Amino acid sequence: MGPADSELMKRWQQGDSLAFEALVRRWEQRVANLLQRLLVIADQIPDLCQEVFLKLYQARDRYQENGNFAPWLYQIVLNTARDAGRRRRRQPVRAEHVEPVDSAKPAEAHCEEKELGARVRQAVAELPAALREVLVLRHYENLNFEEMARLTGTPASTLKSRFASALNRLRGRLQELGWNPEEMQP
Amino acid sequence: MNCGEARDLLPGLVYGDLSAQEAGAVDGHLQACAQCASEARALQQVRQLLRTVPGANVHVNMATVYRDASERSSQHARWWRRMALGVSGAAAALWIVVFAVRTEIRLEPHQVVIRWANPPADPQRGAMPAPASREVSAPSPEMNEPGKIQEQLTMFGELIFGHQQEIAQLQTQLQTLQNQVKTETRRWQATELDVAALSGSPRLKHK
Repeated sequence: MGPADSELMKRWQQGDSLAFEALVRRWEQRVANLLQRLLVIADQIPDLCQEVFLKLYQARDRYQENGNFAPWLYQIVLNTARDAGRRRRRQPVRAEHVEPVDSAKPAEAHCEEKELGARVRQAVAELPAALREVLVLRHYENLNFEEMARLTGTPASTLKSRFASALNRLRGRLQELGWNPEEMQP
Repeated sequence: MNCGEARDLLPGLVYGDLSAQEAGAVDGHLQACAQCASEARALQQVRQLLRTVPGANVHVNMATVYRDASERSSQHARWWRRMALGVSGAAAALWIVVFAVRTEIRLEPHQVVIRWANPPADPQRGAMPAPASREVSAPSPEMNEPGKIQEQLTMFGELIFGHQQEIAQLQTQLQTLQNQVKTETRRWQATELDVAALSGSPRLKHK
């Protein structure tokens, strides 16, 4: 367990570039995972991850220590993902096509973990961006609704409603792709 | 609790977001309702499925971050320089339009006149006094009156006519004097001939 993020930020603001590198190494994987789950386009993730840390570098002087480094970084990641999503809408990229599983055969017989992960990723990718965002923040980043409300500027009640809608849509789409909840091991 | 209320709370139950009281109420409904219980199991399995989504494996290149930051900083500085130049140019153009175009610079005998803004339309009613410089090109309001102009033209005509009469009188007098000179010259020649004839002067004979 190294120094806290706030301590690294303070040292970096004083000119310690090693502190910045330590922050990057601490957060790069988490940022990359978050971006991938928000955008679901693997080939853009390294560039977008670079972009996030470039923005972090440029925003160094604007950071004010109040113990909120993680939400501050999340905000940068969300803005980067939204910008990338808008660019992608202008230049649409076809999502990876996944053939439906033959419903006559049990899901376990066809879905190895990797393949199942690809199907779930596609189902997540097909969610509207607002639903996908709240699903990713709640499920993968384990943020509660009040934290998400502060981060996104959206009321917590709205976020709860979106989260429920995201789970239900996801369930429906996964069943369309051949997933059968009755056959899944608990 | 009915099925609709229970299903609204199922995501919260699956993710542990409910209070103990809410969770107890939903659990009680699920024990009595097989359909809602099935729905809860399905959502729990969706939560498990989400864990199968692979993450990304990324290693940020620090050199690229520093290089891109430097390039963007340079671009930012260039942008500000261009903005500063543009604003300065616009300000200069505005100054020319507002100030320089309305400034009159005129060279008059023994003085240089620099004046900003147009003269007031009516100096008699204007709040500011008329400029000290004498306006040669701009006619005074009195001169614009036709009667005054006609009067001055008449005066100039009479003046010219008087001068013409004086010239004619002088020409007459000059003609009279020339005639007298001719008469006196002839008389003088006749007198010389008479004197020469009486005295027999050779000089006069020779002449």
